Amino acid sequence: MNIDRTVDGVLRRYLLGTIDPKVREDVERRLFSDDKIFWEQMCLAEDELIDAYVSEDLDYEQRQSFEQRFLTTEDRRDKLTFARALKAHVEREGGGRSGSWHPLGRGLFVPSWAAAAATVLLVVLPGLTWQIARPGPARDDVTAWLSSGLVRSVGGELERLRLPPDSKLVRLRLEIDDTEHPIYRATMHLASGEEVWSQNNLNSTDIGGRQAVELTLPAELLREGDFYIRLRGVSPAKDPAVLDRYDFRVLREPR
Amino acid sequence: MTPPLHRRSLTAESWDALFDFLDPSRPKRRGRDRDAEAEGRFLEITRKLVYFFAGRGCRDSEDLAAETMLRVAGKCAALAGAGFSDPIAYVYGVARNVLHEWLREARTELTSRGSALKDPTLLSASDTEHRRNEEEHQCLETCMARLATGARRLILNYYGADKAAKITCHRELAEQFGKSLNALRIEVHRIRNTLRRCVLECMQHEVAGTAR
Repeated sequence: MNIDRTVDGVLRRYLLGTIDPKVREDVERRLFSDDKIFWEQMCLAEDELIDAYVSEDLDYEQRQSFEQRFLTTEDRRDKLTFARALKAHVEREGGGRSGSWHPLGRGLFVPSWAAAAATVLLVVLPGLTWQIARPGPARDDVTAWLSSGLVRSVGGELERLRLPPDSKLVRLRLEIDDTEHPIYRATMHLASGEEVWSQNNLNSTDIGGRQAVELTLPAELLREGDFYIRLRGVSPAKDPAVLDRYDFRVLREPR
Repeated sequence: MTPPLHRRSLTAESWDALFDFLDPSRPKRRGRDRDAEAEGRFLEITRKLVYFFAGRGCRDSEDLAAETMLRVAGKCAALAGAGFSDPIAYVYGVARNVLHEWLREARTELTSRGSALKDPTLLSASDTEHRRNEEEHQCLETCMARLATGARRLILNYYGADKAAKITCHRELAEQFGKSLNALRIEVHRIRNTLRRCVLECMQHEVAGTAR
């Protein structure tokens, strides 16, 4: 296993109680010194560890350590509650929309992959720019419906998503029964469970008489293989509720 | 082991001795801010002690931190003339003794009872907790609104990035704010602390308002 030997990595292991005892002594000696910068790094590492837990960025062992060894003080439990509230607030305010939202000019925010895609279309491949002005989905877009319940563990057949070699954007329509939640959050995972993409602040819409939550993501994220999407319903001041799981297999068409 | 701090109390003389130990220039100072430095150091050292005990796997790290400070306070008068130049190193030594005692007692206790502690993340949310969450959300909105526009925008963008693109987004934010990535993290951390303090104060007011 690779061990993160950066200061952040060491401090994270210290906080989780999984650090080598010799290194722990070094950390303690610096903790009980007048090194203000180290102390601030420690406090920062604590905040970021809590955020990682809230965002489900910790692996299974780290989560176990977090819950059993880290979360043992009132102050840390309060910080966890605060981190959850802050995350919910940011999501409500729209800061946590799809992908990386970064500023392009004043107050205008677009996802970074969209900016990158726009750059490719507008600058690198000028011959394709006509597609942007064309109404409706571009020629390279792929749209597919996914239904929940076709889970491999119960032997159901996986839904297949065929992607042409030039596809750039994929719209996945997740069919839902739930209409109780004002907004939704979707996370996409490899079959191994590793999260590869997420989108917040999604709304459900009626598409041709079917209720769905639509995700738009860059096709490059979908290499050939098995994936699943977990859909959560988000209501103000409540933890997100897990609703459905959508399993599918990506097949890349040859050039 | 000696009972923890909340079961005993320090006399005014002990507090004085402890504050003088933590801030050797305090005896020469007068006025309202006389204790400010010592209080700040007391809180910081207590927090460090909690990290220390939690890092060693102690469940009651807050009690053990309090116990350590109590013992240090008890020795302060005797230490006054000893010329300790590094109070925090002394506290560390006392903390290690407290830890060893705790470990001995914990070993004995483990043989007589199983762990009855619940996973704090799995505790079912009661109505009180729901109310508390509601209050916290309302206070957070109020406190976010009080932040300067730049600080609010930074917090929303910094925490708004999803994990797949977090690194890129943070790098771009750092560029936009003219800071290194590390300086940006520290800036966000400080704003977040301000925000959390504001939320805690706001919630205390809410509680006081409800009790009235």
